[in-house]
Amino acid sequence: MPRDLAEVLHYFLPDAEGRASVPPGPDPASHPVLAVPLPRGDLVRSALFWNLAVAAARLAGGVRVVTLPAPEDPPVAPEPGRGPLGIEVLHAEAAEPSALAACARAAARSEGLVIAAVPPEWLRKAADLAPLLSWVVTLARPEPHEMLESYAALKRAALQHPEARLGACVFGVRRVAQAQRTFERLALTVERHLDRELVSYGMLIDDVQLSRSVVSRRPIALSYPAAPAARALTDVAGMLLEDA
Amino acid sequence: MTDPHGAIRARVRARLGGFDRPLRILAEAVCGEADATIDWVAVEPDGRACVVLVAEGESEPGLVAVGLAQRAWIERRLADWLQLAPTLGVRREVRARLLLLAGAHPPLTAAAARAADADGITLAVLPELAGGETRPPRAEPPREPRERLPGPGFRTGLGENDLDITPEERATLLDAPPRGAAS
Repeated sequence: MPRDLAEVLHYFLPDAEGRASVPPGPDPASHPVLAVPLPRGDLVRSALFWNLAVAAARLAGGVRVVTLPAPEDPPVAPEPGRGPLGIEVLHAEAAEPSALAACARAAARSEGLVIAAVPPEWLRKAADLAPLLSWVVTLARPEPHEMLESYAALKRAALQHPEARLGACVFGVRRVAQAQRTFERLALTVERHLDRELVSYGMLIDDVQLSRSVVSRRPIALSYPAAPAARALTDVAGMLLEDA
Repeated sequence: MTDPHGAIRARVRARLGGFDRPLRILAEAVCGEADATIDWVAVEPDGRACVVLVAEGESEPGLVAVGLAQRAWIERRLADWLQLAPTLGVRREVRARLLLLAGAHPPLTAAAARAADADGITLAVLPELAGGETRPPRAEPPREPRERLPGPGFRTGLGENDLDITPEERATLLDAPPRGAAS
């Protein structure tokens, strides 16, 4: 169901009093796969992606992350295997859509949430990816060219998988109103031209804590658990787990 | 209490005017974010503010994060400072530069600076901070990465024609008034 961005207003407020409790984790039998379009070489999105996976693991455990065999952003991405961060990192056997899809399918046989990083350019032509695209959430920025790219990813996912659930999480904004406008425009376009509903997954904050997280290779949730960026990650992860 | 950086600042202070863009010092040893010390707040000839941090020997990658935090802290206060002293000559509309001075900057520091803000962070090497002989200061932006990151265009490297977006979709996305009122 659509989510009101006002729900996440507290990210920008001083330490909230009486904040909503964390949503419950997923049904362990559902084995959902969340596909996140992740451009190669995009450091900020990569950092948000990995921090989000760690935040989800801290809430519910059993999170597996599926990526290409050679992560482009070694300062951000953890090593393959079960790491101390609570996530299991699985690399596809080859940098091909079919290998990524196979890896995600294998990961989804176990309980818990599977998050797959999908190069957006693959969405255009890779029918092999279709099984991966039942649930796609884009990390969207407000700049026009970024919004076009986010919409293009959603459109391709919708064309590849007619039943795909589509969502967007906004980042790179300075004000809540800017995030709200960004989401509203994406949602309106998706509704009008794809005849689909776009689910809001709130917004993330890419502030100095994210830079520190990149520099220190430590997730924000561990280094700065009380920071607004960490709280935003936890809340977005909670929304994802709730919908998984 | 003795400021451990005081002696280092005394050695370096005179060098700030020797850069390609000579710095005019506005404040020294400023108590910034989290009560940590900012070595200097300065202004470049064109009015761009500059936050300067000094490290003796090799810089730690964390210096970039500290510098980012301190630059943000300064930027939040520039407007107030300009009200108090309108003649500072600082242009608020230009993002402040972060200048990190050290005896050497290892690759990880350079990579962090590049990833965080390649245009807004300058790494400078001062031989006297490495214990070497005194030479004219050398300031340069962080080295380019081996593989250039996408610029202001599409991060995927695709052109607009590859996006399969119709003119109608583009108009809705970028031009149509947002529906509903802000909630």
